[in-house]
Amino acid sequence: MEQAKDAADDGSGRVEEKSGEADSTSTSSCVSEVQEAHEDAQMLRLLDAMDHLLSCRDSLAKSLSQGWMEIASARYSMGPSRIDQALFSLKPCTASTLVSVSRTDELVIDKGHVEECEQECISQQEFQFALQSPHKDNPGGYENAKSDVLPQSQLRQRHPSGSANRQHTDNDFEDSNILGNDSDMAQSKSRGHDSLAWFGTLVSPHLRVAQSSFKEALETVVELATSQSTIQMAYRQIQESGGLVSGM
Amino acid sequence: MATNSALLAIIGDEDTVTGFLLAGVGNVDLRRKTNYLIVDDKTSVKTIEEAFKEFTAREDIAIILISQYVANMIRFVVDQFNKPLPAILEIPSKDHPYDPSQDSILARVKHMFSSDPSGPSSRY
Repeated sequence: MEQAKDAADDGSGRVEEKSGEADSTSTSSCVSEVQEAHEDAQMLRLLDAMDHLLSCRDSLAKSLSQGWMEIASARYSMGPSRIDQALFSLKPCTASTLVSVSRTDELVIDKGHVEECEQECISQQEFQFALQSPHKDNPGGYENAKSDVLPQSQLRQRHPSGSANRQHTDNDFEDSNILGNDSDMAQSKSRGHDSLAWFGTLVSPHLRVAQSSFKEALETVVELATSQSTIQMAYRQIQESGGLVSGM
Repeated sequence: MATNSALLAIIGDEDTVTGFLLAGVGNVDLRRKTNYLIVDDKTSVKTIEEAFKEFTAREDIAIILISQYVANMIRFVVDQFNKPLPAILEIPSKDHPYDPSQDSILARVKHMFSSDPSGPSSRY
């Protein structure tokens, strides 16, 4: 009887061991499947970004070549000395077209990975670029935002009430003068922004067409930069997970 | 997601730089430092290299556009730079069309899918 009991105990122990092994193998296979799916997703992201990069390269080449052609036509009609680097303004001015840079963390799949990524160095981050042209939405650009303050100060100056407020109004007048100077500076800056003015008041229409071509090229450039950043990030992640090539 | 505004910098031939300045990317600071460099026959490699290093060191520049033939002149420096910001974009120039095989990013990805063990640096 005792022998039979021992045998039964041994049997149940073996079954438990076997079920434990089966659990561990199924867990490891699940982990490897998830890992493979993650690697596949990275690879697909890389290939998508590559496709986008190549199409952007084509459109960039087209808009650039059109721009060069228009500049050459403008130079032919205006004369070579009228379109020259010597005419570029060297007065201090800010660029009218800026690039907004945003770091994208949500593209990383699981949350734990996000925390790891934040701890890693900057070379492991992915960025998205977008054109930030103030003249597109707001014709006056950033400077109009400043000049919006001006009418209020002028209104205060127009209605001085009582001698007690005289000192304040004087201060307001000084403030409005300062703001006025600021707006003058801003206006001169915004005038400097129109780079066409460097080449004269009456420029060739070809130069305007060239300007729009290069603006198109800029939009493509920004898309290219985003795709390139995606490619670099995906490449690094595939490299870390021991991707395709042994040398990676 | 953190967002910042930054400038573009250009290193290229005269017509390319002129075009992008017309598009409004030109910036001149109070010390008369520009965010562009026009490369012609008289420009030395050292000047290009210094300009590239200056632009990559500046924190207010997010993208550097460099003509591919100019990048080839300082290829070692361009390949050595591996940070994501500023993004280095090699663009075609008027006299030199774009060659994808010389682009460091594309060469790396091509190497990943090829069985050639010599690596992306073998293109030189």
